[in-house]
Amino acid sequence: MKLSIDRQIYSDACISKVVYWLSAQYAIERTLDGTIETLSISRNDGHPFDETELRSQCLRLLNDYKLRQTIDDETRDIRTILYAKAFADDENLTVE
Amino acid sequence: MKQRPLDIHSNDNTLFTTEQCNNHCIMCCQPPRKIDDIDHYYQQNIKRVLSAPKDLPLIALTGGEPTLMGDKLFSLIRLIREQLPNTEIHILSNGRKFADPEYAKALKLAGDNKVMVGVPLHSDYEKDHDIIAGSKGAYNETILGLYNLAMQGIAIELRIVMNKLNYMRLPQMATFIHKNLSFVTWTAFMGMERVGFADTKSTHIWIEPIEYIPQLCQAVQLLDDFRHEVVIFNIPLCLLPEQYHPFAEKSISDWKNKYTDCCEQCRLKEQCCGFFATSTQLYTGIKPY
Amino acid sequence: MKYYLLPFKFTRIGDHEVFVNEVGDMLHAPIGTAEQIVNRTIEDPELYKSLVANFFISEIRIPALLDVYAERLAEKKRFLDDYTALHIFVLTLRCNQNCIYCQASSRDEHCAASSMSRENMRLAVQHMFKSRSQYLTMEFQGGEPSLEHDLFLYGIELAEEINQTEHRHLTYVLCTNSINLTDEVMATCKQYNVLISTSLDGPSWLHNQNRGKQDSYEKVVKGITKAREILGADRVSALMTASELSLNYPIEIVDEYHKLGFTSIFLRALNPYGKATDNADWEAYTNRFIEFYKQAFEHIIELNKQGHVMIEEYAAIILRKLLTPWCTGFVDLQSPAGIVNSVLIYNYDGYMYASDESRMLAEENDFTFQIGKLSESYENLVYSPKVKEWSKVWNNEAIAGCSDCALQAYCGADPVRNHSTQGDLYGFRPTSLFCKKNKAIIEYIISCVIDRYDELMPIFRNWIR
Repeated sequence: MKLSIDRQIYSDACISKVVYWLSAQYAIERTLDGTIETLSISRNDGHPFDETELRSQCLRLLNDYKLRQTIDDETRDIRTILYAKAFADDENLTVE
Repeated sequence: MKQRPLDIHSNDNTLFTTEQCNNHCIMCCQPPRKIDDIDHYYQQNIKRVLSAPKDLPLIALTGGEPTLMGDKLFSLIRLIREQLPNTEIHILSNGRKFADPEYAKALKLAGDNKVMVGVPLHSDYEKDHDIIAGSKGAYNETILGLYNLAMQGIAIELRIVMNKLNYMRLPQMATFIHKNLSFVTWTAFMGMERVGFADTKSTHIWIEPIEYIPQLCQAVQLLDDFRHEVVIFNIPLCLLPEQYHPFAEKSISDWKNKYTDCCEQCRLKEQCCGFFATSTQLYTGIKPY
Repeated sequence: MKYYLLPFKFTRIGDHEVFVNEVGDMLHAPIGTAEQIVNRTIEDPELYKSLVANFFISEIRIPALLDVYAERLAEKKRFLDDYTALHIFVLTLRCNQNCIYCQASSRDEHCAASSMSRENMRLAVQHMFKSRSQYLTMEFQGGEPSLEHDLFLYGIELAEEINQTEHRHLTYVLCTNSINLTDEVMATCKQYNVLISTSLDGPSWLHNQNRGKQDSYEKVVKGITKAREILGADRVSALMTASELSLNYPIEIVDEYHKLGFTSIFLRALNPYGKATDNADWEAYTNRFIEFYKQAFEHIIELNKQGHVMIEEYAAIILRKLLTPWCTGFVDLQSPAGIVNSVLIYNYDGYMYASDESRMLAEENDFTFQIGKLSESYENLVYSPKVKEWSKVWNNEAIAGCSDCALQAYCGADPVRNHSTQGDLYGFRPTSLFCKKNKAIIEYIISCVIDRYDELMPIFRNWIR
């Protein structure tokens, strides 16, 4: 089964995460042509599988990872500050 | 404002410190005034403390906002501890001033383990709290104040006054308290006294207790589930499901407490908080047990 | 709508989207809400307020209460400040049982070798006091540690002596099969207030089959009775391990614990160490264990509804992480991982190991998690290059498959398990059975909290207390 994904919509990192989770069951070959990445997917054990189901699973995962990516990108700095505050030994709290 | 004499037999002995306040709570039963009265009350309170019965169990500092006294608050507390060493000191404050950790530290130094601070929280959501407190930025300072008081090991009574603007989120507030303010000594859910702003602006603020009992019970249950101390003030027992009676306290000061005609036939009258004599109207739904 | 995102993770459980912030606070909402939050189109005003109040989003770039949030985060990871609190002393490999699933490669009780020397016991106790933790738990394991009474007593006496000047809070635990609880052993337990942690698999026929002995059950129950009489019922607890056979009998196992008067049970899966590795198909075992867990859990709930006290300990740990603001000390579900940070093993062979599982691997000639000889200094051992290497992979916040998992705050990292089952410390989550099992059970518990709140909270609140 082949699945085409636009890299302008889903980043390399998003696609990689989907491939990571699917790779327990599927062998996935990634090819890039311009901004379109194509995943060629087959099952590791050679058994047939429900392509429609897998396609919608892939799209759901892609969307989730894209949302997570946005959350990560937007919160990286504040998270760093939070951890620095939590694990530096401040005595008291003050108004920012 | 005329102060009542300190009386060993009363359950409400109060030092009134100022009519000023840096909050402007929409349901305030004692609306603040901008007058320069701190020295006046300070001098008066010194005399009151000097002549107070030596074994007074509890003395409360109220206002207005007592922390507006600045360092005079600590001199007053030191005097109380010197004159009345066995008396517990309860300060009713909006907690904002304690956002300054030095101020919290100074309170600990003056009051040590004799002092408890009662702090109202109106919502878990900043803007709702600020609207009810009538002051932008109140919420953040209050929460930081609570943390700084806790870090000094000062006992805290968290007070939640139920009103039309906050009753829907009482369960969420309970979760918030459990997660973020688990250090408070106890949480008190308080029925509103229908005087002052609560009465004059009643269409915005007033809500009959019978309407928020489900949310109140859910909130009380949640805190109790996680073993936080929780009490209900100012709600007559006939409005509460029986399983929540143990949380209800006889909370209304003796001098402003009353019962109605129908209370005369009630077998729980002795345990019940009754009503505020000061309130302009009775609650709906009351009936004798 | 204008607001700023704060770090949070999400997943779907049943009909819900579940959101978890950096301290493990959870909110849930209908599916599609994550997208609304990220796209600034939240429809439900009350949800919006909850998201702000609970540090999922902020109305200003740097939340005014960030210090409060940081304080809460520090509390959740407080176990790091506590340094190593659990110290396991493996007195011997000798054992008087022959359990089919033995994870510790025990030897026959009459075998002369494979016990800890007194010199190594002395070094081990000294190391334990090098940990800065105010609370030290000294846990005696084996083989069967009660077969080494003199060494057991010697270890406690050494600790008591050093503690005259150290003033730590000491707890002693004897992990025993309860068969050899002689008067001598009991006297020591009584004198030093030792907790008994025993192991019982279920009804007699099941227990005896697992133990490879005809009369094990009878002896264990006799031992438990004796220990309760001498030490008090609250000083004796029991653990079960689910053999493949056990998986068919969730109800019977729970009922057996109830019948014997226990008020808690820990539904534990087999770990792939020692003899247990012979179990053929781990994936099938894991799937069956998950079903076993749910059935046993529901039966435990029924017992609770009938008014009996019975706590499922694994669920209680997850519930504490999920529902309370406090740190939960449980070395198997921690990040940074429990190894070294929270637990150290002093093995009978004179070496320090990273965890209980680490010394089990050593019995199969895999010395990956052997830290070093007890005769070396504590600092050289605990800050060794090997330990530093592990520290790169012991945070689930930083490893693939875990780093964006919504259950991260409730789960843990286990480099030892990764190594033993997948051949490398880092591990591969899509085929990890540790991941599969914990994910399935944690999701089950979360769905209980969401979908059956009114039904189950009265029970859960007693478990958490």
